[in-house]
Amino acid sequence: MAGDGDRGLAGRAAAGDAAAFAVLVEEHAPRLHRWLVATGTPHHDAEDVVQEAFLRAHGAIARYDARWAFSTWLFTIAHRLRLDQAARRRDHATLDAVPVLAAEPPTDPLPEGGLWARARELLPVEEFRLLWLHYAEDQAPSAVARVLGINPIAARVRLHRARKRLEAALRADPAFTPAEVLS
Amino acid sequence: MSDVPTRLRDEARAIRSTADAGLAGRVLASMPAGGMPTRPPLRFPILLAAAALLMIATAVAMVAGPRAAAPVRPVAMRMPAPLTLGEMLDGAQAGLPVTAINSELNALGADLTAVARTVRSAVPF
Repeated sequence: MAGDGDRGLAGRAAAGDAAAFAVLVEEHAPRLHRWLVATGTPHHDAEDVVQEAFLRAHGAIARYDARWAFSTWLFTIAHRLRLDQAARRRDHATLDAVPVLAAEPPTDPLPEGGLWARARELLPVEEFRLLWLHYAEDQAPSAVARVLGINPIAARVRLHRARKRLEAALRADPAFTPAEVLS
Repeated sequence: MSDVPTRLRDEARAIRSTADAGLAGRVLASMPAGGMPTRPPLRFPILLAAAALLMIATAVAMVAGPRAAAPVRPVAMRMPAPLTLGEMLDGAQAGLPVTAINSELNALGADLTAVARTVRSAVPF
């Protein structure tokens, strides 16, 4: 985890160092975008969320709590923005009766037939987000809980449940090599 | 061979980026001009200055200590002289005459009679 270096950069950014903030953007913007797209956010919406998340982080950098990794803080902001965006879109869909999502070319980053693609097929989106934050973003369960706004114990339980469900589904799948899972 | 968590971590490293190379640049370009916002200035400097002055005054008063107390002169306590036996008997005779004892006994007898009457009337047999 690049937490300690990011904490230092965030501290310098809070003291007014714009170059330190630029390093944080370079480091985290692609990761945040990848998480958003992998968990179902359309490509252009993901870019809007990334921009808005960094804008909020920029404005509130003085209030950044260094007890948490910068990525935890940033992903928390982005997750809330995405929830707001989804709620607004639902409202507009109800009012205007227009399609919720505009058609756009597929930009799926998950390799076909890979474990992450299988996990996304098998798991509810909330469990997939948990799994991603923990295993792909290397966030501790308490940090995952903070990002998703859930209880840390619930995060641990859901993480365990998601992993077990994935393992069980893969065991039952003849296309998957059981030995790789059961070892 | 590896377990699911290890494979998830390994495969996550191989997942390609979804953002184009210009994303970070566009994000930085969208930031407000004028550099990084720093910690906001204190909103009520006058109140804070007043509070600081009050704290300094309190500290100075505590360091100086309480004002020296005036010396206390001991005053001898005057104890009343004990009564003699004659004085006590005189007082008893004056405060409790014999007629008063008789009247008290009569009043007590009247009270007992009244109580007995009440009890008798309250009992139904």
